Amino acid sequence: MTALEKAAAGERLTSDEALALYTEAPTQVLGRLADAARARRHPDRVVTYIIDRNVNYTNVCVARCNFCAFYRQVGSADGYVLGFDEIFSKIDETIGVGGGQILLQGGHNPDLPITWYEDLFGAVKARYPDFKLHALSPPEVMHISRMAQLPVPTVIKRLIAAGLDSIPGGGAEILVDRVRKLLHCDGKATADEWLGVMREAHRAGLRTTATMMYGTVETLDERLEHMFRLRDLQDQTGGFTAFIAWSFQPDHTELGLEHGITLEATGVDYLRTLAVARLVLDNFDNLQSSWVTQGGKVGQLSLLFGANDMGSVMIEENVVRAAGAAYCMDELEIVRNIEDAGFIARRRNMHYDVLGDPIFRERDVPRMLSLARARADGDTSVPAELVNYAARSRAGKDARNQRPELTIEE
Amino acid sequence: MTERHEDTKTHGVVLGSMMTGSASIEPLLERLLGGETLSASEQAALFESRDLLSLGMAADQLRRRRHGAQVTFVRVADVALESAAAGEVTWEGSPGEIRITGTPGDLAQAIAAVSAVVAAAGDVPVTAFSLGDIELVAGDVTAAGAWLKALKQAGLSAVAEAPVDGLRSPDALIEAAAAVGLPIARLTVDRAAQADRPALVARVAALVQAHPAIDVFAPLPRTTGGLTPSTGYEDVHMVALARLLVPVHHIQVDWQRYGPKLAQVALTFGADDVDGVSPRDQVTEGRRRSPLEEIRRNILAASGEPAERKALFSRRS
Repeated sequence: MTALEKAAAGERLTSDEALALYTEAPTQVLGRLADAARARRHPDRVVTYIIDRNVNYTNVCVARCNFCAFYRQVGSADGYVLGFDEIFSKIDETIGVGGGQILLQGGHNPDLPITWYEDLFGAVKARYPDFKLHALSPPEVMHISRMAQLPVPTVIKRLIAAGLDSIPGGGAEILVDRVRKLLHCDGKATADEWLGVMREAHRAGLRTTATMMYGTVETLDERLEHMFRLRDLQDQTGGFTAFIAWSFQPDHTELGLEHGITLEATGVDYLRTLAVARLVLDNFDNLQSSWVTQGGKVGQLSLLFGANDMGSVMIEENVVRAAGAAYCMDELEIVRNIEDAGFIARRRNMHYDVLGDPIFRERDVPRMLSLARARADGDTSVPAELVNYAARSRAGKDARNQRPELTIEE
Repeated sequence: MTERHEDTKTHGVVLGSMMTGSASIEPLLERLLGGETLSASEQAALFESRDLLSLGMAADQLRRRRHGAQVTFVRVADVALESAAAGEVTWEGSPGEIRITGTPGDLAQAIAAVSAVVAAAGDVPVTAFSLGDIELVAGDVTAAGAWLKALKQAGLSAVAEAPVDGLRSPDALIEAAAAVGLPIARLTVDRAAQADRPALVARVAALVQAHPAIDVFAPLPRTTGGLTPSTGYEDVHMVALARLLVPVHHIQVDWQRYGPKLAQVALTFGADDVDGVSPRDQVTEGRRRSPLEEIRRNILAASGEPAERKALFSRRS
């Protein structure tokens, strides 16, 4: 039986078979195979999306990944930490357009101890009991674990107790340490560490997503190795809800500016990669379209190449936007794209439970045709509550001491 | 990396058993690939079909029959009419075509602009104007014919475009251009609501059959944007149907107007030529979007063989 025949029959692929399809199958043949695999799992032709907000609580980061245009070094004048009130305000706006969750991620800020996260989560849950916190990718969990000198299971347990609902799959990049070393991201989490955090999260009862950032220094074999490692863990835990692949956005990144990786992976490469992921990840229910990096047009076409989810309505996104991607679609536009491709649009939550029809058909919601930003340019104010948390860096201590009414109790 | 074999026909046996869309179009596509012409109702069935992948696979087969793996592209420098008419003619980079944009107020302005650009262009072909604008400003076909003759004499290589939905007398105008030896670089579509597309494609097919010298059709609307821009599905659907139903040699997509990602995907759904690539070697983001590198890379990634051309498809060395 050939790889093509096995894929067409819905049988599990080996890595050699996947590579043969990835490298040799015509693009639309891959699309047809992936579309059939999607249809086997989602025969109702429902395509889901979620109304949530991508909130980046800080851009201060010690990881210094060379593919990232978002981070600022400790002490940078452009560094920020959002205050609790700013985050509440963003939650209010999200609820206003029908959202029930924020995706909360940020840099590895040495001046935010685990208690800051616990207090934030607790405050959110106290104020918005039903609102969901999809927060802290595995490298952030690793960072908190190292800072607090607590094992990962303990960190996860404490964060769950504070209000964490699920973990996003960010920071996976390519789960091959050769690649991670070249991207300077092995320090924030090795491949095993990333998978280990997810394993512990699944054991603790959390559902998580899985991602892949491709188009830097990896080979096709390494993209596949990434997928197969995810498939293996999913076989063990069943904890992943979805897989999301996106291409490296080179603008303003060290990798782009200094290492000559200046061209983004192409749209056809994205569709082929997505299709192969649908075939390899035969134990994942959901594959998201990354229209944020591919644009609405290719994002919509990804529904023919294995995707069954259009991801999030975009209220705010800062990380890939910093690196050049600047696409924006509100709920109306996402639904139009889903239906135009012949699918049925349904709102979902992070667990992919269908919540209902598009909210704009139930009540008026404001159009969102431009992205909100993490913080206005030039705003260097420090949130008042930060004084309650001991800073570790010199710059963090200095910033907090600039508020004369506040004193830091060591 | 193993070379990809993009001929989808060889995979048909396996894939035939896993149709997810409207299987009813398969016999229609088989007949098209066999060289038959479909009736209007059969063509309408293709437009109504949601089975974009089947349409795309058939369109890709037809494209490969005509062009093999070759995908042509042209770097175009736009020069504004007003500037050119005032003798201010500049452009950056290394274009294979210089295109005068804008609607002339009168023939004298048009000739002044063409003369100035031709004088500066050296051996780079100069194209200009929309045939629809010439018809509108000249007033009628006879006057438009006089314009075309004068523009040819001023050194114009081709009329830049003929919008099928913007011509009152398309046959007569195309004949007038042919009579003075002035080619039309491409048939275009100004606007095309979904409901209008079957009739529009039929009109283009009829025009191409009546005027074999026209060998390029750019099926995606030139007027884009607004609060409800076309979707990727609509764009690629139109490209595939243009390849399947219009007996024209080249199906063209616009690099700048539709963006690299959509244009590249269109190359796997029947398009074989990319118009409007920037002539500049460097743009604001440094090498980030070096257009020549990016277009070649995108064509290769779509399993094509890039071939740079000049206007009117003369090969660029």
